[in-house]
Amino acid sequence: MSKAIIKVENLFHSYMQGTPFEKEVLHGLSFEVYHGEKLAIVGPTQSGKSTLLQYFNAIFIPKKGRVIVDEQDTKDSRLNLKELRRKVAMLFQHPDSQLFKETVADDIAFGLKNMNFPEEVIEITIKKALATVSLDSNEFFYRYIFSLSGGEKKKVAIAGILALDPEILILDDPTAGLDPKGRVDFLNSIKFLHDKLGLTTIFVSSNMNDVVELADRVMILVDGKIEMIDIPENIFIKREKLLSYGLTLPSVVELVDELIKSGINVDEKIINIDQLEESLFEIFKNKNSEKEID
Amino acid sequence: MIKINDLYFTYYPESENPQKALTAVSLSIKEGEFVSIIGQNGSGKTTLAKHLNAILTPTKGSVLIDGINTRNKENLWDVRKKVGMVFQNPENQIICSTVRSDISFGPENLGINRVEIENRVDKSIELMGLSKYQDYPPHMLSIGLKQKVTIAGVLAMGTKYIIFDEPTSMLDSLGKKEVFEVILNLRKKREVTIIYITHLMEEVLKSDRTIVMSEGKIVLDDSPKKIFSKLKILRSLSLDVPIIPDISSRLNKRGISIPSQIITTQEFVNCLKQL
Repeated sequence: MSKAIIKVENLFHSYMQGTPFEKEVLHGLSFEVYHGEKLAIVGPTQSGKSTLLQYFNAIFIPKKGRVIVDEQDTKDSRLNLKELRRKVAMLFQHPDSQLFKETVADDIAFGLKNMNFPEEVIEITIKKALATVSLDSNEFFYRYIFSLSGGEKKKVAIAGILALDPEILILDDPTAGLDPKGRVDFLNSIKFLHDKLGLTTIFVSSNMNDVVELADRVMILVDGKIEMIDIPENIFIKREKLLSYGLTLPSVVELVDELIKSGINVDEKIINIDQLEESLFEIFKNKNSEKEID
Repeated sequence: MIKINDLYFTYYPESENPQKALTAVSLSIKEGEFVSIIGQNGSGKTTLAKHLNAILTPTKGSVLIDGINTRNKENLWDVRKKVGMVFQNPENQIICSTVRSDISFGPENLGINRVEIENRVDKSIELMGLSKYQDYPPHMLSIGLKQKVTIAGVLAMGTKYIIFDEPTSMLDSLGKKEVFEVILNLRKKREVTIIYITHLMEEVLKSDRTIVMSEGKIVLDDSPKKIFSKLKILRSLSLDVPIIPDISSRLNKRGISIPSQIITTQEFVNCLKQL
């Protein structure tokens, strides 16, 4: 097991603290995020997912418990916030909440200027960042933000944070609202970035098919408590539990269950379509050839 | 009946960079139908939908709602009384401080008498299962419930046609299911005609008829079953392929033959058992 880049220890969070409306939403979470992994956080609405995300780049500072990012306690008064937020980049659910300049180039340049990047490297850094999310800089450099599709906006937002050379990506439901092609492109660019740059990614997702495709480990967060944290195969085998939390199953898992119910004995641990294809092929290849012999 | 005749639309027609969004679209939608519209981002789905309640009017061609031409400005209110719209993000559509007052806002603007308004609001609240929440401030609700509030608001206006523009795409999986279920309920009653834009194939499968758009044109208009058997076309348009046609075509490639018209899980299971 590789080493932890984020450690969360006994973290509590309450909204409207000190008022009659005070509500505790995170109840003592403890877990670690390993260097280089892709961790999915999954849970029904109001389970505390988005609240938790905001602790990783010190938008929230723990009042009770500790969050340690790359060996720095976010509670430490000597913490260099600017450096932490460069290191831990956050992509919000709606790209519109993070794009605000007129053109693509201006928007990406904004972060760079704030981080005091020298003027002469800004243009080349923008072009590099666009290339990493497979947007052609000739076409997109001067494009107006409002003329972009939803998927393109998401990519520009991610280019904007990649330009700052982060080590940890925090993504809040990154594929919500994307069309199928936008979704596939986006997932591929995240996988590519991982392999190439060795980033650590923590993402919240409401789409179980994304979780199957991307996650190395999955955390199930329900009512501010961690119910499970494990590799996807071990999570999705617990169908009844997941359904009882109000979660859905990946479409491949639903199909696997239907097949088993009808007496077709595919492996119940299957979670993706490649595994399903292999398993069905193994079961039916012989039947097919028997028929040919007949 | 909605009748669209040879519709063309161009954004910024006077500018240096006019953008053609719709080309030669002709279409009729009968009362009581549940029509789904699919296509990539930028294929013209929303532009088309916006023509149905005169948010946009044709550059060329015509849109008739029960015979009323959307092009004439004096028809605007008559068109909007007939055609309501539910957007992707409910936040854009909720304005009042309680659920009940938000649902009343639309019919109040139509100048209907108070008793009738209250009746309609009661009925929509019940249909959407919002009784428990009617005095809540909308911002306290989950996004799925908010979307139900916007649907209730449109229903209370008594519109005959409702356009849904990806109403579930911002919701989590449970919210998606719940909101789609109330929409299916509306469909069962057949009191409203539903025009439903989506990217979700499991939703498309429940519609009566599916229109596939690409680059501003209608490229397919058929039953969802027939459309999903055309894998090559769907893939070439970068649309999602539902899981059954996907796994079937994979197995076909490896010599296990499964006919292309197999779309539902049940059909797939039956087919495998006969191998």
